[in-house]
Amino acid sequence: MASENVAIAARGLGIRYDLRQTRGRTLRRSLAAKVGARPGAAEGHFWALRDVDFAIAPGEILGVIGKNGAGKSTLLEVIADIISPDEGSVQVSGRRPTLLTIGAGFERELTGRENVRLNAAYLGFSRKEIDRLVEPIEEFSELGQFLDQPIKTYSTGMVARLGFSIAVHTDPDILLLDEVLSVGDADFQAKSRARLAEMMDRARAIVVVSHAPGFIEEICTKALWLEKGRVVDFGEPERVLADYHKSTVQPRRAVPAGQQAAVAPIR
Amino acid sequence: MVAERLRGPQTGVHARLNYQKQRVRDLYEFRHLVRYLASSALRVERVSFAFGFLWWLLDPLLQIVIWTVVIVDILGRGHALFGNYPFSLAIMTTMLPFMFFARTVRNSVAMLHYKELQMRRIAFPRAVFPLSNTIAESAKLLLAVAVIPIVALAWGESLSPVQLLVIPLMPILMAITVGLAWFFSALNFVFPDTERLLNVLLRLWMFISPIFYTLAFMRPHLRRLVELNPLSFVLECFRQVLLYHHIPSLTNIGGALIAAVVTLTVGFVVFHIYEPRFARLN
Repeated sequence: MASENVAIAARGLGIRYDLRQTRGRTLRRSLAAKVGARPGAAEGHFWALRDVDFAIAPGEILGVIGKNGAGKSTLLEVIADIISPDEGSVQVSGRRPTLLTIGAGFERELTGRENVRLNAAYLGFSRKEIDRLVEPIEEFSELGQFLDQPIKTYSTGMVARLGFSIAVHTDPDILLLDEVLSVGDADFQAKSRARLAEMMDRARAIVVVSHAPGFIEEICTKALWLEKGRVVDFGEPERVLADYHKSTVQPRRAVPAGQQAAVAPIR
Repeated sequence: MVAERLRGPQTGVHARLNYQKQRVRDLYEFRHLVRYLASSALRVERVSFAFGFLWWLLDPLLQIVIWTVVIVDILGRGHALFGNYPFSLAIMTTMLPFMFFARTVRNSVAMLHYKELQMRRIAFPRAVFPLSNTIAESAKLLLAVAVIPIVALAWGESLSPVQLLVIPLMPILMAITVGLAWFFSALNFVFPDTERLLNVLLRLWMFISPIFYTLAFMRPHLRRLVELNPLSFVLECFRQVLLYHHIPSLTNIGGALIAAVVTLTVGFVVFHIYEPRFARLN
């Protein structure tokens, strides 16, 4: 693919986690549990992504599939510029690739309105851009007078609603979705879906991680299947999903004769 | 126009230099975030306590009262240190900037932990946290320094326009502080015990800074050691301006400027060498 026709391209992309330098908190424990017998784990590191190659053109929607710990979220973090490659490179054509996230920049002591401004500032918007964004976000959230209250007084649903309202008004060129989000009551969800569809229409490219194969098949133009940080397949969603589906329903190893009755099929 | 970025590991001097230059541009691009974080931190602190911003004054004043009681009243040493100048006024001129430094560094290191969620989900220059913290703390310092003339008048001391030179000294002190805040924040990600060690280090740092003594009275070999402390010259400048009403000597102002440039550069570079790991280390 010629470089001017590329929205996102990864070449030999590798992300390495150094377990010795990972703090003894949640990440260390969760990673250690996930790595199992991965190569490199014995030396205190493992590759969350390795030799990842793919490219998508402007206008394409990439669906990323794989089991837990396959490296799907890590891939989104690299594209979003949250973490940097240790090997290879990633090329992103477009302003402000954004990982759609709810309420990550919230400060409990600040009011809803102040948090709208703070979140937009985290996303790199200038003061003028923020001034333009604030009103539509406030209207969309339907939080009314609560916007002047500190968000520590909000219910979980209200926080999610405010976070979602901010997220869907950022209009990035490259939109990154880690599972499709839905919050609020039926009316708010319908409004959110419509807004998300608008965002997707405007975005230069979209990458979506989902465990719902139907969703990937329905909206994506390309699919990327990751397994233990490596690409198993990349291409037409229909074909990639069919292969992925086959691999997940097939038993991993043959069950010795005589023990078959003990293994119940999990469907 | 569509912006295009190609990212990969930095190898070679040229690539590393370009990486650091890009981090300076990123920080400038997010200047609004720095301002907003600083102003919202001050607002939160003001409304979270019953005495609000009065604590910005009470905290340093109480410290000065304690040290005055210990050194003048209990040890009887006050007059030997600063001649005819009131001891509490003399240490106030250097204790306030030192407390600003210590609080900023300590908060910056802690801040990078409790902002973990932001760092793992949003792409923005993490250097904004120590920088915004330095700006917020400098607002408190300005308020506290404004009390010095009132205390001076209460002790029967005169005022002079030279004292206004404290205003250009502030950016020098802020540069040294943010440089060291960046440095220790990065160090804390590599050695998780830094935060604990810092508490001890900052206590020691107070005694190797010219707060209870001046550089002029020191033995030459000890003086050379204390001069290696990046805060020594700038604290001397604060005292010369606020207490003695003197324009700072060339040695002091030159030393403070060199310390500012060195700490700012080293702190920024070290912080950004480790920054790519931050989102993965928490």
